[in-house]
Amino acid sequence: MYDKGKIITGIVIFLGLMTFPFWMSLGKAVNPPEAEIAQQLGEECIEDAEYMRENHMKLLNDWRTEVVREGDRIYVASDGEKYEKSLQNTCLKCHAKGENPGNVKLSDDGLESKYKEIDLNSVQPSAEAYDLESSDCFRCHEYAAVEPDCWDCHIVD
Amino acid sequence: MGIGFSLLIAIVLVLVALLGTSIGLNALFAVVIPYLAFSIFLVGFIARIVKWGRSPVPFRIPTTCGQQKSLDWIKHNEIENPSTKMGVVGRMLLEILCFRSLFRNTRMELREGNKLVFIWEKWLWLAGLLFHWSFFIILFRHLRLFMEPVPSLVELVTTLDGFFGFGMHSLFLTDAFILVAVTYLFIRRVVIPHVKYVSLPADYFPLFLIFGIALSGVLMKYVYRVDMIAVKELTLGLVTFNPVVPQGIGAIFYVHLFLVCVLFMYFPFSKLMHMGGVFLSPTRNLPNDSRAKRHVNPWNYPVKFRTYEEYEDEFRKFMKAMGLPVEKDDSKEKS
Repeated sequence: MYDKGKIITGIVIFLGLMTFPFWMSLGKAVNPPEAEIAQQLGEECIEDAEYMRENHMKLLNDWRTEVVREGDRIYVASDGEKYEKSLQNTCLKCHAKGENPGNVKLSDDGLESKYKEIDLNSVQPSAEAYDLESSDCFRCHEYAAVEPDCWDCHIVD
Repeated sequence: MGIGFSLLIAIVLVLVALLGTSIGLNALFAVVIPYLAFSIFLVGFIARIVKWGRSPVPFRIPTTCGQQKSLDWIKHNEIENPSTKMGVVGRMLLEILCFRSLFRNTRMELREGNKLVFIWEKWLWLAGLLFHWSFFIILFRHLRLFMEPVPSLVELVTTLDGFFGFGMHSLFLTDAFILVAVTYLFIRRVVIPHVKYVSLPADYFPLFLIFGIALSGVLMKYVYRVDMIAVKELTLGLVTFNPVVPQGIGAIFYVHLFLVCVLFMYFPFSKLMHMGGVFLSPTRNLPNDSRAKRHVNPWNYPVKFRTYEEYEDEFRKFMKAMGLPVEKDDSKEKS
C-alpha cells in the first residue's frame, strides 16, 4: 500500500466517526421514560396511549388553534367523554407533580369554564406549583431531544 | 430505460419493507438488516479505500488553475496551485466543504451559428452543495436517536435547523432543501440531453433511494406520526448491542429504516464512494512541486544498467583502433 500512514490514519478517523455512538453508549443501558406520574395516579389519558404517543403534539396544536382563535374550550374524546382543552387544567393535572399555579380556575361543573379576570403580573405561583422538571412531558422530551414550546407562552414561574 | 429500472427497484424496496412488516418480520427489519447493512458499509468502505491505496500514483498529476510558484516577483496562487502541504490542505478543504471545482462549472453553447460561448452556470453547484450539507446535517441530527444523553451540539443544530415553524411544529430547513435539491439533480439529468446520455441506472438509483429516504422521513415527521420513544428505544438498543423490537412503530418507520439500510449496503459498491474517494483524488491532493522536487516513480524496479564509462573501459582499444573518439585516453595518461 502506498502512503500507508495517511491511508490508515484516514481509515481510523472514518471508523471512529462512524462508530462514535457505539463508543459513547458502551456499557450504558437506558430505559425509555414512561408516563410515571400519570401511571401512579392510575389515570386514563383522554385518548388511548398509542394515539397520544404519536399524536399529542397535533392534538395540542389543534387545541391551541381552537381555544385561542375560536374560543372552543371543550374537547370531546373519541369515547364521548368531555374534557377542558387546557394544558394546566387537563394535561398537567396527571402528568406533573404539584398543583396548578392557579391563574385559571374551573367552574364547579368542570366544563363550562368561567375564567376570572386575571392580572398576570399579580399571579404568585404557590410552593407546590407544577414541577415541570420532573413532569412526564419534560422527561420524555428530554429523552427524545425535542423541545416543546408550551412554556414559551404558558407562564410557569 | 435506466430511469424506469431504477424507479422500479426503489418501489420494490419500499414494497418489501411494507410487506415484511405486515407479515410480522419486524425483528428482521429492525435488527438483522441494520446490523448487516452497517457491517457491509464499514467493511466494504475500508476494503475499497485499501484497494485504492494499493494503486500507485507514479506521477504528479494535480490539475491546477492558478499561477504556479515561480520567481518571487510572479504572484503565486497557493490555493489553486499549491506548492506545499498546507496549500494542499487549504485546497482540499475548499474542495470538500465548498465544492470549489464545481463552482467553476460553466455551460458551453454555440450561438449565432458557430460562436462558442461559455455561460454562467452555478445551479449544479448550488444544488449539490445544498444537497450534501442538508444530508450531513440531517444525519447529524439523527444522532439524537443514537445517544443518551443527547449532546448539546446536536440539540443546538436541531434548534437552528428547526428555527422556522408552523403552529407548534418546527419545520426543518434541511428537510425542504434536500427534497428540492434531489429533485433538481434528477430533473437536470433527465432534461439536459447530454447529461441524460451519460446517465446510467447507477446514477438514477441513488437519487431515487435518497429521495425515498428523505420523503419517508418527512412524511414520518409531518404527516404519519410514529412513537418516537419506541423508535429511540430501538435505535439505542442497536448501539448498545441490546437489540429490542418495540411494538407499535408505524410501517412508515420501517420503510424509512429499510431504505437507509439499502443505502448503507449499496454505498461501498457505488459511486457514492466519492465520500472517501474525494480525499484520494490525485488531481487535488498533491502539491504541484514537480519543478522543485524530484519525484521517483514508486514502482520503479531496480534496473541493471551499465554506465558509458564501463562501456568505454571495455571497448576503448577497439574504439581507438577504429578512430572513434574516446573520453578517457589511456595512452595519453601513460605518456
